[in-house]
Amino acid sequence: MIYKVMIIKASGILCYSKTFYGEDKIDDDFISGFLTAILDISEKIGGGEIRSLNFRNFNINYSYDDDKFCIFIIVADINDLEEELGDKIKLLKIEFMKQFREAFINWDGNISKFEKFDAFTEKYIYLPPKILLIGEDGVGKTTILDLFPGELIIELDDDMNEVIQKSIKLTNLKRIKKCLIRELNIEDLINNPKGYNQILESADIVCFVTNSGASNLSRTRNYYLSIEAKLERANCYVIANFQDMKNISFEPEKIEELFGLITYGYSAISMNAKEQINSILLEVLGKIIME
Amino acid sequence: MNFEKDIIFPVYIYQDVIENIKNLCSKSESEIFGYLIGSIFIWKQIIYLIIAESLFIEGAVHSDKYSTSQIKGTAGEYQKEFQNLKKLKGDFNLRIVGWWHSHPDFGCFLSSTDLLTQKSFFYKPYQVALVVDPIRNEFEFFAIDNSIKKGYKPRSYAIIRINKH
Repeated sequence: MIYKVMIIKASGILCYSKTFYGEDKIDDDFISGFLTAILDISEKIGGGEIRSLNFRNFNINYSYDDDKFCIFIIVADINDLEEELGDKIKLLKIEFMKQFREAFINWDGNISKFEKFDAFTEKYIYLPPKILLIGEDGVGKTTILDLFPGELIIELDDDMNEVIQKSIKLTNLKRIKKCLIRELNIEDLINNPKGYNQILESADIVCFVTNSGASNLSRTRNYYLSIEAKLERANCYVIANFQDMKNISFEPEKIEELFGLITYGYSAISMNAKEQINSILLEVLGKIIME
Repeated sequence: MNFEKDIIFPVYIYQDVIENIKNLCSKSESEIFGYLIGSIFIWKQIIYLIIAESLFIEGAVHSDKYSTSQIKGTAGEYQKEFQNLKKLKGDFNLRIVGWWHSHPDFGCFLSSTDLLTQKSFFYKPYQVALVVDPIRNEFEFFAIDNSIKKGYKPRSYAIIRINKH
């Protein structure tokens, strides 16, 4: 996820900022001043231009334009791929200088001149949160995806694994306009434990989907425990599907005790299945904004 | 995420410096130590550290069985190396901003000996102690804090990665 974009004049004055996630009641001028100060001094003693500052949970990625008029900064999650961020920062630079180069050279300090750049950053720079549905065959992962309009896309990741995903538009969240939902089969993960590292580590939210039956719960839980370390940065939940089958399904409260994860009871075939899953997604995504 | 709170960290260290220290620590079964060299910069009246180099002299060993006089005894060698480093870097604003040492497989904290070393030799308010556990693959920065019972506190840090010229 990209949290924030900033464009700072080389002198340290902020000319543009866009927050996608996180606290927005902060002094951007204060931050931009600090980032410029550390950039200046680090370059003097470090023998090179800063590429990034790596904090515990996020990275600040820097880049200059060719003429060193300004510094482009993207604040992103620590597990976001460097190559992907590099492409984004390059795109940001090219487009900003294309749109505003002349205005920037003669800039009078009025940041409202660059506000229309929001349209570009929201469309091309924003990285939607990634939700990963993990479960055995037949627990309802694809049924959940099919509730949303749009095409299912099959992509190959860097490890040449097939990933089924769909981009979902969201309307009820202040900052998050869309998210990417991916599904993965547990058996594939068990058979190829290292092969899906990138997908696991880049997920912002992981939902273990179960049919709420005893044996499936047991296997799913064992699998969760085996990959728990790889999911350190993701928020994990359980979607306890098949709650309409009262005779064989464990209640969400019991499942929550078993997994130690917040569990949402669900029935993918109910009349209001789409509203239910939408509500679950809004709740789990809303927590990312608040963190 | 509160950027103001989460971005303004007190300690910054170059990636190659921390990787070098971790590498040195991983090659020794006993505790080893060295100095942290860098600059301080002041922004809005607050001091920040940028750790740009580390000094290590093979054979200098830190252990609970050595008294602080042992550390002092090796200080002369470090002084000579430090002066050489400053000449090499052409930066006479470089200073000793702290020390580092390893805790092979017993975690990152300051022992009572470590704390005494910190208070005796690295007592300036900006100076820090870096503790590296190469077995557990952990490291932490600490600084003196007399307001709390154990006498020290962790310091948040960020790693600087650069494009070399």
